[in-house]
Amino acid sequence: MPLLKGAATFTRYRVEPDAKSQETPGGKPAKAAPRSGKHAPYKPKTDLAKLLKLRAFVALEPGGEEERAQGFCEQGMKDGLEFTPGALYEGEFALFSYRVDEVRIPSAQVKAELEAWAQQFEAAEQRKPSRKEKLDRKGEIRHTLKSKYPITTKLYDVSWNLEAGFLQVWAGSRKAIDEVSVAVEQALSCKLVAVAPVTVAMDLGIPDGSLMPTAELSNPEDFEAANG
Amino acid sequence: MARPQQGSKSGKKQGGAKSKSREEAAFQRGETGVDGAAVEETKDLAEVERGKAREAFLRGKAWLGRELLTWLLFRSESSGPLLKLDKQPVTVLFEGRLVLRGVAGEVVENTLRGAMAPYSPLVRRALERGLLVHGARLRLTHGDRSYEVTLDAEQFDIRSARLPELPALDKGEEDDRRSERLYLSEQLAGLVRALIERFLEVRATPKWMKEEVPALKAWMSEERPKG
Repeated sequence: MPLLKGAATFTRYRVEPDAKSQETPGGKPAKAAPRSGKHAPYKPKTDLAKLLKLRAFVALEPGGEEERAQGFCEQGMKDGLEFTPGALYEGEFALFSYRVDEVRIPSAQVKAELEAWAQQFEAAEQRKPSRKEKLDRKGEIRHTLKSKYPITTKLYDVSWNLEAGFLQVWAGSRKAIDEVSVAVEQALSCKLVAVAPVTVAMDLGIPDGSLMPTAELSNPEDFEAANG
Repeated sequence: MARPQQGSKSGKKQGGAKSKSREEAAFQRGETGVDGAAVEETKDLAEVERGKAREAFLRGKAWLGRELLTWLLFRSESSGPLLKLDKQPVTVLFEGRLVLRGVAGEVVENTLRGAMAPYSPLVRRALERGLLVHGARLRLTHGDRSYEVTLDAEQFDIRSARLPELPALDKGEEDDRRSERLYLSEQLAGLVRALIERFLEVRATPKWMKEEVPALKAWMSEERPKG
């Protein structure tokens, strides 16, 4: 749980209403947010707990076809799906987690078993298995192996400062960060804008034209050649 | 290769036409020469690398983050705070690992390690030749609090951050610990944002080209660090 332990690793986003939620009753988009650096913090119109419950974690079915399950749960509580105010809020923060359960079957093992089966098939049938036969067998092998490998559970914490309008995804892997941020956007009907120099420049109303690369720094030899 | 249909004259004709159109298409794609033989295209490895470096430079306007980190390195060398936040001075010190990246020249990436590596003449030489700071470990001091963080120019995520020491808390005080960490992480994120804003204030004005860039270039060409 990176929120509570060890070095802090997180990606910070500004939370904005998404384009759909900004539409006026006539279907036209509302005026763009002012480029002043001061944004009114976005707050969902529906109760946050309800929104999270709609996309709460649902466990993998034993013996089922699925190999991956994901969804929201209470912060640090992989089985907490109630999102009671006591569990969800802490001061100005909303805290929750994104849980990912996965059965990781080594592809090398699937490949080895499939090749062994293909050899046996060829010896017995005097022909190579068709693509469909191979695909069917691969599914069967994965299904059999699934029960042999334990389900791994990962929790990614999310902290949302409701007063300031900034949300932090506490994860190190870019893939996980992207998955959690997309899930949050979908669940809360919002847009997450990563805090980086380019987005801060937009907040400050700095035009793109004044932010072109500085040739003297990034390509000094070409710059000197061009400018004598 | 196209196989002309066999058995009838028209089939042979059709097959020949198909084959000819395929040959023409292959020629237009640059896969074969005028003699119909395959063209051997040898890709210049250095050009491929430079292409990737250019892509990384442009992706998400990473150049802006690189210029920021390079400017911070330059500014951090002179003693004194970079800015004041909540009436408290903010100082920056680069520590340990430093990643330099460029878009031109023979070297597109250079990683340096060592406690004082960021302030070494070697780094200045590399910067002078067009490499910029892409990733760094920073110590940010705000008042009496000290944070350590790793930043990269493209994402500006907070990575492997060491927050100020917390007083020893009992197990029952987990909520207090969480609140404290949330507060300190917000403070750290605020510091990073303040540094970005400070840089952009300079970068977006004519002062950048008139004063800051010449000062940066002069610093890069200095033989020895000051002090």
